[in-house]
Amino acid sequence: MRLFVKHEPALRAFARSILPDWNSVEDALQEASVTMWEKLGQLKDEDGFLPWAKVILRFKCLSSIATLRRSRHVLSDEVLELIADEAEAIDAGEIASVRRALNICLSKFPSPHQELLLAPYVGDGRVKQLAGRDRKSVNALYKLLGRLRAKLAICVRGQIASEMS
Amino acid sequence: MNPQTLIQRYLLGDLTDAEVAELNCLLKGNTELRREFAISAAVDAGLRERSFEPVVDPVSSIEVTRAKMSPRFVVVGTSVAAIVVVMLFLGPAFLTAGLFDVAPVATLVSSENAAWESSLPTIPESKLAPGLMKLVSGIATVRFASGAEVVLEAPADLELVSRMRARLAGGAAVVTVPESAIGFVLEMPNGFVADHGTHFAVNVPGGGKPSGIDVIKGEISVHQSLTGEKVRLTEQQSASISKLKLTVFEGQFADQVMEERPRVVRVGTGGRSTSVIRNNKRRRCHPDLLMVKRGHSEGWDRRSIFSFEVTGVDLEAAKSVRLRLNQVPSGIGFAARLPTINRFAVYGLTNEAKRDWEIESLWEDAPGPADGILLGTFEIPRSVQRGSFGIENAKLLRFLRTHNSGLATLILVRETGQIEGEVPGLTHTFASDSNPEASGPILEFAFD
Repeated sequence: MRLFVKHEPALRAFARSILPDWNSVEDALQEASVTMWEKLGQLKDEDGFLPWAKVILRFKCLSSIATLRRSRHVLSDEVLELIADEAEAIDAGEIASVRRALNICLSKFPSPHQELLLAPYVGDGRVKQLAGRDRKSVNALYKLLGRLRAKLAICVRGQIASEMS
Repeated sequence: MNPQTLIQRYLLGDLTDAEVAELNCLLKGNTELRREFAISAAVDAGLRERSFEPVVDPVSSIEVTRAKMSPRFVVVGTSVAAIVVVMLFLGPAFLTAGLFDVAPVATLVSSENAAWESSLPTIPESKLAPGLMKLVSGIATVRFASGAEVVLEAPADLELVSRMRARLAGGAAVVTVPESAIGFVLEMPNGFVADHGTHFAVNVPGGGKPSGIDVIKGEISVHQSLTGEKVRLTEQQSASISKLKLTVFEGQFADQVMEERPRVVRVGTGGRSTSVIRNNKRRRCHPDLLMVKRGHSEGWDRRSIFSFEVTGVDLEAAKSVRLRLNQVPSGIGFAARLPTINRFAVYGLTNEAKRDWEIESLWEDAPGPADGILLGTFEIPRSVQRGSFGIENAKLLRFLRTHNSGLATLILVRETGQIEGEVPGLTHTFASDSNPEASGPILEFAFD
């Protein structure tokens, strides 16, 4: 469980690359953690934990996609498998780099944009509240959010590249 | 829409069917874009974590300092900002020098199998600002900027005050003070030690028990707060500081205080423990864990039940009894979605019809609070995921004496729920008898 807690951020990011929303990510993590506990004996050493845990989590995520597909638009199984391959190769060090870069990049945005970038996670209707406050439509705010996130992603990539150079 | 925006809006759940198909097509033929997708998912996870952090105080004077801090220092910075606001209301006299001083005062030199609960960084070689460090397990070495070095043994609570001062609220420590740090002060409950260039050991057991101080080499002075008493100790001398007095011994402190401990009898559950879940998805209840949860989504509520065979215990002669539960990290749900303090209740089963409950019980069949009487409550801060908790009171002993035909069953529930939002709150977990990390529920009977 100590190892799970240690690698939880990397596992959560991995599951997010496959699953379309955070509720399903949390469900998959819960189920995977129980399986990991049961199969801990298979693990040869602590260094092998993250790749081993990702295999279990990948299975849990992909097996829950069929159900999710009924209620929302989801990428094809083939593409999700390909994305999972990419995400599986991202190690804990890279996740830490992403977090560092995110902190730097986020601070470059003005406060209202930072608030909007964090709004989708705060709880029900936060984006709607901001839309009401700023007298904009929710749809317009989501479009802006998409653009801001794209800008943030470009900044993060640049920051990671400069860290590595 | 450009591919990057498509990815972001997909992650937000804001794409039409046609747009998802377009993104699918783009991702299928482009490895680089798939990598971008995976990184964007990691950024999404990072943003989500950031959203759970305390809201940054908008005091402009703090902003400049905060910009130079690591994320962990932001918590300290925010607290400082809050203090500043309060002080401004109280008046300028409170704006003392040093209030803004969050410069590092020490370095974490090493961490041997150490587990921390700390607002300060816990990676070796981290620079440490003034603040609290709670070492849950293992051994860690902290070197103050003055050169004084403190080797902490868990469980320990050390507050870093300045480069020349620290406060040990509990735990054991060996302190080495080189010439550059002569005068280094280590405070403890009811007194403090000032060092004159030496090596000394301190043991602070807490709970009102006296603290012990051993000089390993050199010379120290020991001060008692209440009486103002002060003694100088040299090698092969030791002292104890209690609430009322300072006592000096020749030889080691540990040899002086072979306190008389009450006789204790411990009884475990012998594997007779289980957890039940409201939606009866039993595979979500692991046999190594006793799980308790109360959330928004009622289907995931959990409670635990355990029985003790107490026929071999002379209950009438017992002076007191304590139920001990060992919390272990669950990794299920977010502690950030819980109230700061979580309250747990322990009930004693009185409903005879539920006496023969089964390990594989369904939620509705297993004993619940309605089948018993409340014996006591205890609290766990949401920041804590490891430790020993439980209840110790006359009601528990009375219950065991009166409602006992050999087997006493207790029911554990969490009374507090989670704070607003859909993200699941933490499921609290305690060790069962089969847990490889910690021991299961125990009743500890004390006798004269």
